[in-house]
Amino acid sequence: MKDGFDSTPLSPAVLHILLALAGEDRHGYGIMLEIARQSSGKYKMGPGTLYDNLQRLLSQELVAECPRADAGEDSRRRYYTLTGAGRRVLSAEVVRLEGVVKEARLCLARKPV
Amino acid sequence: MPGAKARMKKRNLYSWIVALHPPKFRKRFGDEMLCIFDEANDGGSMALFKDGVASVMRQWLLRSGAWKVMAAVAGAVAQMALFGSAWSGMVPRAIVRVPAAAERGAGQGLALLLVAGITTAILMSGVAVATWNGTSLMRRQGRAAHRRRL
Repeated sequence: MKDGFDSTPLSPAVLHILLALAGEDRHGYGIMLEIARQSSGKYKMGPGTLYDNLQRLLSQELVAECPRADAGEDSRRRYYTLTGAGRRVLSAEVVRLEGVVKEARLCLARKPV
Repeated sequence: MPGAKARMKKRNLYSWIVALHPPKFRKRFGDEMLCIFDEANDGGSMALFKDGVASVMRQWLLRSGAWKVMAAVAGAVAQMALFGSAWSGMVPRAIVRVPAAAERGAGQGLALLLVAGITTAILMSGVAVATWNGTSLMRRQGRAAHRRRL
């Protein structure tokens, strides 16, 4: 593995990409649409940002290229899937975020506005 | 159709931006970026162009390693500028010592000094950049080891 990410916390872009691929294999535009859907349109990732992060995730072996879903599709499309290591990193990040949310709720409950 | 013509112009502009990426990135992801541009139904919004330009700069400056060469050249130029300033008396001699050969202005000594100065400047910049890069490499290896433990 080259050019490592810090395991956690993940950057918002990496978190969203891993999350988009957690449910099913997707192509680049599919990942962008899924990210927009997950964030209710608040976070729109451009192709440059997407492929910069995908490049690093591929070299980290957290994401891998997989065969296309439909042979009749645009030949330029490539599909990506989450690897076992990618799933473990995403799970670790979710656990970390749960801790953050729990702590935040406690803090806010202690001193209400 | 004016709409189609405008769209074609935007597409040409975007393909030009994609072509400006470093070759490795362009060969791997260029077609996919254009595919996304074609599939996006917003007619080539400004956000896509902004993202493309930012991506070109990011790939060249941060990911391609070109910054190492630029840092070495900038370091060499800075050192030569400092040496030249000292020579011409702009920087006090106490900060940068100028050898006597240069003071006398002897042609051979001057040329020798110039070559030695440039070589030293480039070597020192190279060493500085290599050391810097080595440190970040060790950091990356540490992170990779941490990932394997996960």
